[in-house]
Amino acid sequence: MKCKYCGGEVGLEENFCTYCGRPNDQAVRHTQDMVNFRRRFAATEADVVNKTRRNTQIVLCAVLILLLLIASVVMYAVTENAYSIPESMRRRAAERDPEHTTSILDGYLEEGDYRSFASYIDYNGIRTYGTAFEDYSDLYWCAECYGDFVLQMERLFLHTDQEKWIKNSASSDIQSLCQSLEYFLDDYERAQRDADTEPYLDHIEIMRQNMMDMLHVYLGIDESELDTFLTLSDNRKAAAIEEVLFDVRNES
Amino acid sequence: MCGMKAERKSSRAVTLLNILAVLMAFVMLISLGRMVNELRRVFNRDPYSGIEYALQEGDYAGMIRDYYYRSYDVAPFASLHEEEYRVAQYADAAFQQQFFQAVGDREMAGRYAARMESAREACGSLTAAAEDVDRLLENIRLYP
Repeated sequence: MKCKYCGGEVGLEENFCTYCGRPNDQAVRHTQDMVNFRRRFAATEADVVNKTRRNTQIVLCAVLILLLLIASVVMYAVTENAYSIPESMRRRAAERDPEHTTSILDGYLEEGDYRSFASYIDYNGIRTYGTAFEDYSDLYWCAECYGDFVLQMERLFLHTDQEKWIKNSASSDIQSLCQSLEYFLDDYERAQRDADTEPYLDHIEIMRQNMMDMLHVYLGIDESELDTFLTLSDNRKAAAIEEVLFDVRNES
Repeated sequence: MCGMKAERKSSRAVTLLNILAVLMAFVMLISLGRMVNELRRVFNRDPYSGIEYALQEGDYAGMIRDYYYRSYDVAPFASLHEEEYRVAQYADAAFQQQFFQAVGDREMAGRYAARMESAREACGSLTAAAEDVDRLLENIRLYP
């Protein structure tokens, strides 16, 4: 820039003109401006650093809390669903080797062990829809109901404390027996209509016959009464069974 | 002055957040403990089983239900409750053997008789329970 007194070239950093020696007002103002600027910059910088340090602490704390919260939620979810992890593993193993699984299931069917057949499917979480085991679907549902029915039959007789059973669970066990019979008959009718179930209809018929025979052998409901019995409502079926059981107990 | 006020406010916030972080860490440790415990329980081949209680109550059907649920473990009966499960197996086989014999199905009756025999041999100290099952079955009135 030029000196305002002599017009000579003078730098912005020079406080006096090198030609005429007079003070360079602009340089003085510039220097003061730079000092002010540097002072304000340093203050701002310090302020930013302090704020950043405080905010960083807050942000880090918040992030840590968030991570701990996410970890707690994940662990809670795993805990609540832990029981299904082994079942999922077993299901994957069964579906990876369908031939082996099918041979086991067919083995149970050949032995007439329908309860073990249904239990094996339940225990391994095998899906009977959309998989290689789809053909077993109706058979599985029938076997499940058959297993429930036989278990309820066992409940009627295999307990030591009869008084306690009569008081606490006789009614509900008898109702469950009738319910499992009804569910089986529904599944039985559906199986008759499903073409995929045809190879297994014999097994389903055996289960049905076994159930009818059990009603006769243990409860004295013979074939002539069976159709009437089957058309009764659940409550009336339960009442009829209770009458037979308690008459027998009173006699003994 | 404003800076000091802001600094006090934010130091309070940091303190509160630190307390919250400690509490969350505590909650996480509890969750971790529960998760490890539960995973150990479900992968253990002998998770909680109601079969002992069912035996004490003389509820053999309850034992049978548990038996069917558990009988496909990779190491069948390799557990604390082997004898109880054998009693359940015996009770189920005995009931079915009685049924198939009553309806004249010799093949199935024979199959379940064989299961009865092997289960009874493994009942060990719980043979009395197997005898109790026999007694209950004898008392059942069978219709011809």
